[in-house]
Amino acid sequence: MRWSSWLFLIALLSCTLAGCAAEYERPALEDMAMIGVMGFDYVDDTQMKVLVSIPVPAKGKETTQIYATQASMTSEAMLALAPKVERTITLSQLRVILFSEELARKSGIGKVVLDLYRNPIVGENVFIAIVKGKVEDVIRGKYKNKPEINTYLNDLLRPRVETAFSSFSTIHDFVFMMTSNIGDPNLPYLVKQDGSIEIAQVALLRKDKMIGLYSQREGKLVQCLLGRKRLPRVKFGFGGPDAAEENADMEEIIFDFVWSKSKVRSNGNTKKPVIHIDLELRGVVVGYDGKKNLDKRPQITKLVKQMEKRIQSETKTMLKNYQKWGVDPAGLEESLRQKYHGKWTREKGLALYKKADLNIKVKLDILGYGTIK
Amino acid sequence: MDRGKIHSLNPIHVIGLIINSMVGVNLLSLSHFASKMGYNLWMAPILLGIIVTLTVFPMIALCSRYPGDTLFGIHEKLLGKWLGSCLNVLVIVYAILNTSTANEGYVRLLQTSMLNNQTITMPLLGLTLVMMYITNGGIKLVARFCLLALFFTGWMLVLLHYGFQKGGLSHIFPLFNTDLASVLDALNQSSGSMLGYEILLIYYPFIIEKNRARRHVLIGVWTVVFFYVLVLLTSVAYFSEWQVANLVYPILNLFKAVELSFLERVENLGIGLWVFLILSTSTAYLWMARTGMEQLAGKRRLWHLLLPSAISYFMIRGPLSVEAQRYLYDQLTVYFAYGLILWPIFLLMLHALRRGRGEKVS
Repeated sequence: MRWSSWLFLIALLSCTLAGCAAEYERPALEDMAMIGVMGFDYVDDTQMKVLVSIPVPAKGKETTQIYATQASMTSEAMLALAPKVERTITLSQLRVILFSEELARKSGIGKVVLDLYRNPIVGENVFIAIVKGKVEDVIRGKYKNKPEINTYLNDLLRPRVETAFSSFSTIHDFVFMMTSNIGDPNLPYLVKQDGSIEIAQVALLRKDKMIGLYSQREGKLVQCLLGRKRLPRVKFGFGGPDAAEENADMEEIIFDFVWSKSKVRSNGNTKKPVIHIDLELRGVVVGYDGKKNLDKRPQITKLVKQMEKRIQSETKTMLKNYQKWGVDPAGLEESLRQKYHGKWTREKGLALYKKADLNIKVKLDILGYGTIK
Repeated sequence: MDRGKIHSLNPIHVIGLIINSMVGVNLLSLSHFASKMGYNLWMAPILLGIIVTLTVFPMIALCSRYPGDTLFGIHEKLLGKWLGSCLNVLVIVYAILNTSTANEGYVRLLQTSMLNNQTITMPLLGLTLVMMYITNGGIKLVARFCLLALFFTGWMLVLLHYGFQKGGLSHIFPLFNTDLASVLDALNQSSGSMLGYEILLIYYPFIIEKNRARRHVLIGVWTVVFFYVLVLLTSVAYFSEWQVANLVYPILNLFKAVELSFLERVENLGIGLWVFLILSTSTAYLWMARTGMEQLAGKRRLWHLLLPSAISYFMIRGPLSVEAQRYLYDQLTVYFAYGLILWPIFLLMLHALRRGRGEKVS
């Protein structure tokens, strides 16, 4: 044999030596306890109660371990939890972070999120949500006919069209919204009722502190303004017993937005700012209850006009209210920032935003109305 | 093998060498370094590219007057044996510093992201051994390795579109919203990312098509600028200004934005592949150090390779404190580089005085 072959053989054999090495630094997969959900409850201004839920891999039956401790930082909580768990705990499979409303309102969630953002073990697709009441009740709750809590919450918060009325905030998204200086972050607001969890509303935050809630319907418009292409279905109702003479017919429409586009531009004037909002929406009528014959062009044009007017007025009322309260979940300040030369700060942005005039145009296309006229 | 054959680098090799000796550890933190410019930071590589282009001209002009000599040889011919050797030692120190910069930056990243419950001894040792092995094959092997590394890592640019889609490109407005002081600061901070093309001064004699070398070098440089601008535009779209200023490894977070159905945690794959970019930079510099040692000693020995590698290894793993290392890599290396890049202008003037303008010395 040539010497090179001997060298190769020796190299190959020395690889097997790895089996003799003491292995204590990276435990095998079965020895890891992978935290799926972390929850934070308010105790006082510095302390919080940290709950973690860990799925236990077992054949046939899914079980979950839940541990709790008190700490002021996430990493400190991990330190305190480590001896309690029989395996090595890791954050590498973390999927959901829950905060109680009290914590979000009183001490803010920025510290916890930034602590996790620092940790390179934590992945990017970790969703953040705010819970009504105590997080402990949600994590320890029993849910009939649902998968175990880790899978359940992850599935619930995963981006879907049906729940697209709130921003699906991963850690990165939240840190982005918190530090971007062009708007107020929003997060899904979970409510536990009747043995299940529902994304009931959208929580509005200023920096990292929760300041209020808005409804799903408003959330859909806000998402449209933020530039989401695919929006959830919306119900429109026209007419009714106390409506004006010309549209006295009762009509109900469930509209599915197939495609939407929003253009938010400002005029760049700091004395008298104007924000132009152009909404372009296309969609199909999913459900219709009314007297119109949707096969006839003039009738459908009339319907389009009605809906455009409705969306326009709803958007206007909503944004006017936000301006009055000085909050900006729709990120309209971005359009002002784009035309602003000099150092941009949130205070300047809010001042401009509050006095801005809004000019909203809506263009709607009905692409289809189902199989009956 | 091309042992003994001097003219061995064809145009593709030159372009590959330029690209991959420039792209290295500094790209990992590029948007962080340039963050003083705010959302205008994507202009930094273009400005740097212009500066680099301007400094390539005197370099090529100097080298074309000495077509058979490396910078080390030029020093000895132009400044005399004694003074030339002293300068050559400085250039060798510069090369070793750059080798260490690349290796240290990468090993530190490994330590923070992938191996955060281990010390860096083993990864660093592995990196150094592979680096020595490649360098031992000469400049042509280094150039070939650069091309290989380009194909192994270039496809990762495609992954940028994940970050791009999630963000909004509208962040780049308003354009030119910055002042001169922050531009200069950003340029100074991020200039490390453009270093690597100055090795040209050493491998110029090995290039086959010397009269078209400048063109190939500039193609390489502007390809790198294009890559950098793409990465920075994605950073602008994906991050807020606070994030750009505070994240030490923005590339790591950009990798995290990638969502593939069959693969999670793409950042581990990306950081693992990054070793090719690191090796292609550090081998080029190590080869530079070795060539300098050969010139000093006048003969070719293996310890000319072993000594710089050992120094580079013990600079990182040895008794130097972290603060001292940071000073060496972030400050001293860059100021050294400024000097080396401007040095050919001085040498050209000296040449004009001693030998007359445009005279060739073989």
